[in-house]
Amino acid sequence: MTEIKRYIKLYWEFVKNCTARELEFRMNFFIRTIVYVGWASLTYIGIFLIYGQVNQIGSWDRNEMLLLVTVFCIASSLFKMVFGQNFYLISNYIRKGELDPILLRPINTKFLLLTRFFKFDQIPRLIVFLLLCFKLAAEINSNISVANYIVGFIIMIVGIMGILYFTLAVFCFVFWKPRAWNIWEITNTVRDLAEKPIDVYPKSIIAVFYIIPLAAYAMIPTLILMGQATLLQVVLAVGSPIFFYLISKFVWKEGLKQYESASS
Amino acid sequence: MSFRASLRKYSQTFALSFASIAVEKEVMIIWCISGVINLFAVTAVLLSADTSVLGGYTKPELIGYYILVFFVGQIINWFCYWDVSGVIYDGSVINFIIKPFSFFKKILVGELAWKIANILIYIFALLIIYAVLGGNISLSISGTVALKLVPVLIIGSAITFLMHFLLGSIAFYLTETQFLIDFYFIFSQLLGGAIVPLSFFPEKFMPFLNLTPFRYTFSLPAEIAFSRISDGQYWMALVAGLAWIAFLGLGCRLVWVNGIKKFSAYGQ
Repeated sequence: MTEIKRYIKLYWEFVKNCTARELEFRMNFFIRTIVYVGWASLTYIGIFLIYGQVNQIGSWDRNEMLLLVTVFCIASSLFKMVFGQNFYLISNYIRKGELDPILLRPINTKFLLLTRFFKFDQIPRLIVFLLLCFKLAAEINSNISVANYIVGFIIMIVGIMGILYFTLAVFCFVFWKPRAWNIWEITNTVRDLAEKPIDVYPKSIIAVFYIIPLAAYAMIPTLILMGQATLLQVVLAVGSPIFFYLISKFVWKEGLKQYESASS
Repeated sequence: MSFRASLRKYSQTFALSFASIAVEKEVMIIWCISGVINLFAVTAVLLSADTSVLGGYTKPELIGYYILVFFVGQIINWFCYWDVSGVIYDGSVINFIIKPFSFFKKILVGELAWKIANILIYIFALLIIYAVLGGNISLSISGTVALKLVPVLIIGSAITFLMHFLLGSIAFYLTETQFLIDFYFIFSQLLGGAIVPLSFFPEKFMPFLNLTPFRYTFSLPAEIAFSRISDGQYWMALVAGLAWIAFLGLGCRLVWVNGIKKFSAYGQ
């Protein structure tokens, strides 16, 4: 219990430190918020344009698709806010051989690496998406209750943790190929697959979306809000992060054996 | 300086850049794999749409459209914004001001080497895509169409390069310019036809879409490949594209020359 308290306290210090830093560059923060909104608008405009030509994609109508994208954006904002920037730094540390000062610190290495930098600038975007999510979910499912939101949120957190371990496992590739600095492109692209309904993909590869926890990241929370999720989907969604936790633990351990330091 | 000497200088730059590709091959392969994953995702969405014709394209044509955009992107896209703004911010641009070496040409030739290698990787990726999706694709490019595409791709490529160079050069005047390139990407993806074909937009937007330089990047090659424009419109588009190149070229020159005048740095 003392150990958990220590980590919570430490994390709070990280958040305070990053927030103070962000407030030093307020204009930058403001511009980045506008850019994020711009990128998100691109997806929404795309949906409006596509649904100007079709009524349904798979079994999803326009509002349902908008809800899915919004839930995806909420999950992505949370992911980027807590872990996003840290991943880019991990590959840099490994590539430049600067990991050892972190390995020697008296705290869990992965905790420090994955949570050191908190992206404060995701908060405005997160608030916008949450409001949009409440509006769309209420429009689609008139019987929606607080329980739908709570269960949906829990499953989303499970999905985020799964994507976290998946991303970590893939990032460990840099231990073997240090020049592959853009490995984040693969994990981001795979994560972006969750923005589309899984039932549009060929049946032969749908299992992949449960193994890599893409379903839990956005689609199952959306189905829960719509009141359409099945128990099997929820059970499968919860299993996957455990699998990737074990994989990432193994790959990290093996990867560290490959690591070469650059410091004296 | 003679033309021969100049040619030798920049061919050396090209050779150096080409040699660096061997070291960075993983990076290129990763970009390509991401592009292929995206393409398959878009294809899956299109195939599950409940109508057979979207924005004047049948589903197989639309898949062909996105494959074309995927490949055209490798020809027309340049990423010199980071090189240009980078040398301005770290002050190393001074090396190019005082030496008989054009920074503009250096960037152009250096990135050209990357582009050629990248295109080779993407041709290989296209073969895989065709093997997987073959039956679902409708895209055939005749000799005449291929000839028509050559000037269009050169124009699209020049527009993209100049845009990047222009936005990168603004680093002379602003301490933070990343947001400019972000906005450029947002607009070029949407208004260039990379997200959806421009025919998906309501008719009233078309005059505006035809005016922007972005149409000459992704959309115009696709419009030609799918015979969506007449010969008259083709020539008009070429003239408009060239006008954009002239305008952006002038903009680059003005921003760069004035930027150099106000630039200050430590001696090196």
